[in-house]
Amino acid sequence: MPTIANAHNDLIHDAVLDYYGRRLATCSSDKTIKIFEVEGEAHKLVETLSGHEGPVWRIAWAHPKFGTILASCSYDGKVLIWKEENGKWDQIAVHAVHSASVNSVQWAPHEYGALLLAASSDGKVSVVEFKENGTTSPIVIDAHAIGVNAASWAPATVQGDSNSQQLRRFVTGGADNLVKVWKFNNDSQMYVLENTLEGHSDWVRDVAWSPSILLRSYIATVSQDHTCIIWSQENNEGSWKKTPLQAERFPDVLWRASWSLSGNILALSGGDNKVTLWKEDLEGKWEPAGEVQQ
Amino acid sequence: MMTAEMFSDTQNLLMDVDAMDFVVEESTGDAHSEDQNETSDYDEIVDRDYKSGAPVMSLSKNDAPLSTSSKGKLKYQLGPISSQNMAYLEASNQYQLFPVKLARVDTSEEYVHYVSKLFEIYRDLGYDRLYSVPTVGVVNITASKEHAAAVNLAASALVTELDFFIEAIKSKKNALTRFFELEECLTILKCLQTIHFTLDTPEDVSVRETFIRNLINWINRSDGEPNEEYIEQVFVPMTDGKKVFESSYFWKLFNQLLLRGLFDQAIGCLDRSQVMVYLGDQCEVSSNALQDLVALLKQYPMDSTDSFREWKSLVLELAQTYSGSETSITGELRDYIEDTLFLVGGHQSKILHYSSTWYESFCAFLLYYIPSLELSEEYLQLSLQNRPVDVTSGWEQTCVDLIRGKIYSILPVLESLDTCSAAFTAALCEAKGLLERFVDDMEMDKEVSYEGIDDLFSYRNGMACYMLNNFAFELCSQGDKRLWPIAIGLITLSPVSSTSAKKMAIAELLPHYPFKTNDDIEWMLSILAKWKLPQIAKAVYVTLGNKLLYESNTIEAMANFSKAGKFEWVKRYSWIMFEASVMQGAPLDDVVLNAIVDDKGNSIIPDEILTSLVTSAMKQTLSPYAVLYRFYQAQNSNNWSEALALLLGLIEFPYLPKCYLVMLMARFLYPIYLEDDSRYVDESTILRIMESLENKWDNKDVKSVNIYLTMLEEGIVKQNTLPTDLTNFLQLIRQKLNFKLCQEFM
Repeated sequence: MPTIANAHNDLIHDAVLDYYGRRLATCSSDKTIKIFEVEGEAHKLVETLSGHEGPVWRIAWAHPKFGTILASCSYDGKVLIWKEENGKWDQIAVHAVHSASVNSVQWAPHEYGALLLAASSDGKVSVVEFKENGTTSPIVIDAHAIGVNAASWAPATVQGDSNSQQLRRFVTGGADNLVKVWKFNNDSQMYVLENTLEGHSDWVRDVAWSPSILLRSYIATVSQDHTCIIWSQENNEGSWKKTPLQAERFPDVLWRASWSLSGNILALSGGDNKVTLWKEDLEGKWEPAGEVQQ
Repeated sequence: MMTAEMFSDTQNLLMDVDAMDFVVEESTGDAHSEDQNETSDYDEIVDRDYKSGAPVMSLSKNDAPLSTSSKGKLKYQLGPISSQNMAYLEASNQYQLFPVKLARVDTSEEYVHYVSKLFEIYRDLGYDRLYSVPTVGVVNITASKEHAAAVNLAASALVTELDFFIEAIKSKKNALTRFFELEECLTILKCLQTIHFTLDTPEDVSVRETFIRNLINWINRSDGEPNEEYIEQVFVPMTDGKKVFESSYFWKLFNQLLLRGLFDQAIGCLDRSQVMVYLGDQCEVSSNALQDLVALLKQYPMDSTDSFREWKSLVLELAQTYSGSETSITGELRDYIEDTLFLVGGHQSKILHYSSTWYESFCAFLLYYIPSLELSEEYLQLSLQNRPVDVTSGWEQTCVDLIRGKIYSILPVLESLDTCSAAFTAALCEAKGLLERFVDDMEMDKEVSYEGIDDLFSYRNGMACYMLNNFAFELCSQGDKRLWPIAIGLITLSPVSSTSAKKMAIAELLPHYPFKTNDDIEWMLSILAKWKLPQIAKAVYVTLGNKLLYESNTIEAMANFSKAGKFEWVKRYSWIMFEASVMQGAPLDDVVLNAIVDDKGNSIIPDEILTSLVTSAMKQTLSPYAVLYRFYQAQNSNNWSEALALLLGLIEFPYLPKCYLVMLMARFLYPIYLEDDSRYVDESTILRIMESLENKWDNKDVKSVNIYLTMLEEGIVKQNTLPTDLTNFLQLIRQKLNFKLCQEFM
């Protein structure tokens, strides 16, 4: 696919491909979201969505079983839900429980229903369920006192076996330098703090829970302190093992972490304007798998 | 399979690496123009990281270089498909997006073919995919021999397929890096095949020949030496008047060819040098010795070790006879001939002296000393003491490890060159029993048993299993639906005994399958059915339904929602279609929908297709539309009494939403039957309508109000004849009904 020039009129903050890689959504400080259709090497701008009153930080596609649905979060403190029907995009819901910028949004694994996780500078994370009857039931949690920068769902751990219980978890990273793992409690119908992971010495900029369905869970966290930590947990229980991705610090701040579909590749982007790709080798060590530079 | 002709044509083994004749010139016709469309582009890699060797790609390639003066934040997001990832700069005045392919992702047709072939080889191994040593019961010796034969054959097929793959891509414009990586991979695999997958093939009369051919093939393919340019230089006439065969270079070359088992080429060099002609005139003894050597080389025994012993005794006899003979030639030439005779006789110091690499002497020991792999460690040690491993070459250390039986250490190297070859090689090594498990028995006893392991990637499952599953996941990330059956096949065949681990993996992966056609969907659903994953199948049906809805195939979408158990959705879309039809006052322009509800049948769509499409839930939810459709038919044929009966049926339908009563009244009953005083409506019908109004009409119902106002605003009903609100409309209907009732008594 060739470079997409002049996609926005201001800073671009996110660019996400949908479940099948057929649609691309981008968002920007110009307060808009753009939708591109991707067909092989070609791309076509099909829609520009306006509705936010501030820079749009992140966007997330819902699982296709819910239709063509996109969530966006913004500096205006809102999360907007957009839906395409018969080629027409409409804003179908507003989630406005936060009192400051919403920095990240992510849809839960589809098994849990249309469940959205939002992280805000007001120090809270919210989990909102969009029910089929059109109602919502938000749960708001105090997560990180100074502000939450990112949040990421754990993959659904149970699929076929009806006897097993779903282990619904997510991770948050905050301006208090902490990483926190939250777990849904069926009795209280609330998310409770399961673990607090200490390892960063500055703001945690991004957290990414590996989507792989292994019994070992992996969380990648990147920080303003120039480090990336891989946290791993065996059998979804017990303590988290901390493994710095590399012994020495990265040359600059690390902004973003993302996993490939199968969780075998981790991509990091940092302030040195380099993207580094990492892969766990056969001995369990993390080794460089590539680099994309400016 | 590699043919005998291919083996015998050792001339081909002399690859001219310096001439780079495998690279297609840019100006060469069709091949070049085809390559313009290449999508598999390994050479997008612009550099290698100096420390890790990881590939480096640049965003500015094929584009104007990016401005580096205004530093922005470069951000990156891995996509669901490895060839589609997005990079973008958070920088002022640079509002660009850069789609980036992951490095080392091969999306070429040739690769898909190669992967398919390797999967077939692995699948066809059947039970031989597993290595087991029977320790109890009746031990079947034949079975273990048959197992070795099957696995060796598979290894041979794998090497052949890799050879074909390299052949297919070597002329591609952008595949140079890939070509070299695969060549290195092939060298390692040829060594592996020679050392571990050849000699134990049972009841194979040609096993020694295969071993020797593989050995020669391995070392000559590995470096392509001696190259043609060097050979030509050796034959350039000397400036000092010396003949070619009087120089050390010639004998070095000749011996090098012999060390590498290139007998035909060695004899060819001898002929070209005219040394035989010279010796024929000058020294009969030397001439006879060389002629005897040529005859012996032509008869190098491939069939058995017994014939090798006889052959070797003849060579040694020749060498000793020559050594003790008086010759007319003296000096260097005689020494060269003597050296060659001793070299072919397996003389250790001569072999080591003339070898320029460790693998040349290793090969020569196996060719001329004692052809037994039991001595391989000794040969290797001697060879490495004489010529150490070239640390700049990737494959040399790997082959040394291989010869020493360190199979685990070769897997990361292979993986770094080609994940597909690495995964299947690991699988064959495990099948051959070359990979022991990491976990010791003690650990197995105290922890979870092997059978109970629910993790596809647990190290307890073994390295091969890990690599195969990892490769399967990699294939699923490539966005190529042709690779999906292979990925699912690999997970299915994976030697993990836990079905739930496989089931979990398939459940997670399969919804990502990039389906396009009905056949794709059928395949996907058949896999889900086979693995008994109804919940995932339901999710797939919902996804399909939404996709079809997006394409305006409402009926097919409903059929999928219905199969997913989303009956509320089916109901909702049925009423939406009902509403749309009432609004337009005619059947919807949907051939499929109308064929379903048409009693008289439809010639365009065969009944069997309709039957398979319409679920029982749809039959129920579409019944109001079916009645409406028949109402239109009656209306069109001016059969007003039947039309009224059908309309009444709808009005009295107990599950009719309130708002649709208003709609039916405003759209049909009032304008057709009530407004026109002359239109006859019988008493019982009037009373039934009144009863329905009594039960269902709700002036305060928001939906009813909205629908009525919409009909007025959009001119669906006549604004000048109908009141502006529901209350007055109900009054008007009642007035008209009362009038009709009076008419009945008048």
